[in-house]
Amino acid sequence: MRDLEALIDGAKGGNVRAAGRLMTLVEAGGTTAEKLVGLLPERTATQAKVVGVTGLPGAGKSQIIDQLIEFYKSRASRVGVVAVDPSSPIHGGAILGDRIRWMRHANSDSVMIRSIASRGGLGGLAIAVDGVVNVLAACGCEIILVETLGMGQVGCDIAGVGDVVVNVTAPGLGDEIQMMKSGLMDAVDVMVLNKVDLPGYEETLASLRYEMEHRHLPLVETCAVSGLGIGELVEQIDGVLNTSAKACGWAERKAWLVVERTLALLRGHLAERVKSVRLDRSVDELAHDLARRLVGRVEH
Amino acid sequence: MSLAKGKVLIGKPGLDGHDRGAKFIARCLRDDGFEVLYTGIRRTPEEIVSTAVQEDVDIVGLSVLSGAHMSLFTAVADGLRACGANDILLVGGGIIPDEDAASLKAAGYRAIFTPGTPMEVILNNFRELASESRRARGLA
Repeated sequence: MRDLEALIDGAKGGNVRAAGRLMTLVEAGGTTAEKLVGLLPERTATQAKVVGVTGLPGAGKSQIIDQLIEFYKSRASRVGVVAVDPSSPIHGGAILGDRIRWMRHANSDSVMIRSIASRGGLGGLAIAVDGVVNVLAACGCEIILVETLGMGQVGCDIAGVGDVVVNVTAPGLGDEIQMMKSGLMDAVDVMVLNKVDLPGYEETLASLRYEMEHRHLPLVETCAVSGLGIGELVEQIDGVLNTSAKACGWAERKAWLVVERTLALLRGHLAERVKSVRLDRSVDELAHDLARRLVGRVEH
Repeated sequence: MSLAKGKVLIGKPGLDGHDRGAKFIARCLRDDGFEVLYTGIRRTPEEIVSTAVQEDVDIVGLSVLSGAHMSLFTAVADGLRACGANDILLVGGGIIPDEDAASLKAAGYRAIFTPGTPMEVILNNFRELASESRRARGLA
């Protein structure tokens, strides 16, 4: 416990080693992570604003974030970044490949970046993302950029974590019907059409513009590699942060987050418990039986 | 869902742009259940050190094929030490003469892999070092 307090004090005082260690402990979960929850300030008690960036693989999320880091460095005393990449469901391995786009910020004292593997997270983030964000917030990061896994139609975890959610797409990834679909799009605050220098841009823009007008959502055209449109993107992000014109309010998000987090924690416990269950009936029978017994125990 | 064996940074310090080997190691570590960061080519030792510390990796593996391994590998080891990150374990690979490998081991490198080393030997080293690091830090 005293070790944890020393790490937190170190991290708050700008010791990057201490901050890195704390984030590892949060990621590792278990009782230490649980203790840290009580010791770290709740994010709403800090200055931190969280900008979530989601979108399809290859749409340009990391390049957009690279430009946003460069911009926010001039405005915030410290910028935090959390990037999630997928874990293999088979062997647990992962390539944490977002950070390679941000190496120009590697020596900047005002930028702290953490890459984490999804480790079974199903909604576009890892279970530990919220905790890692809290560590960065406690370290004085005023802006925290969170990059999700490559996401398309499902996976709205980012709506719970981000104070604003930016969805990045690129030409040729879907027609008007794709844009009309429910799901991730309902959790978005700002839509970005990136790679406007690619062929097919006009058609994608036309179908996207119609959908965004219908949804009353801002649409920003960017070319992240050159920096085109990043100023306008920042203005639109500010617009959401300053007016709390978010797709859903904090109270709503908090209730949802509590449910999601509880379920995520339960997954670990359940996985342990199932190891001792005899797999002698069908999957459905076993699942119904297990669920009924668990709920029964909670209700009595 | 299996748990990852450890978190590794594979780095290419200096001006050597030959990273097929580094990426091959990264892929094999991934397939063996490691979480792997790859820095890309032409990184400075400072960039590799700050990345390793922010990411709090268990192991840093460096690859240099240009002959500049002595100064670059030493600079990364010194940099980690200066950050109080002595417990991040170091390994290296490349075209490295035996006497240099001995000096690098004296400077803190736990293993030096030269061309022709079987992948299973490399993976075994990473597995052992990762569990040593995780145990030492109370994570295993």
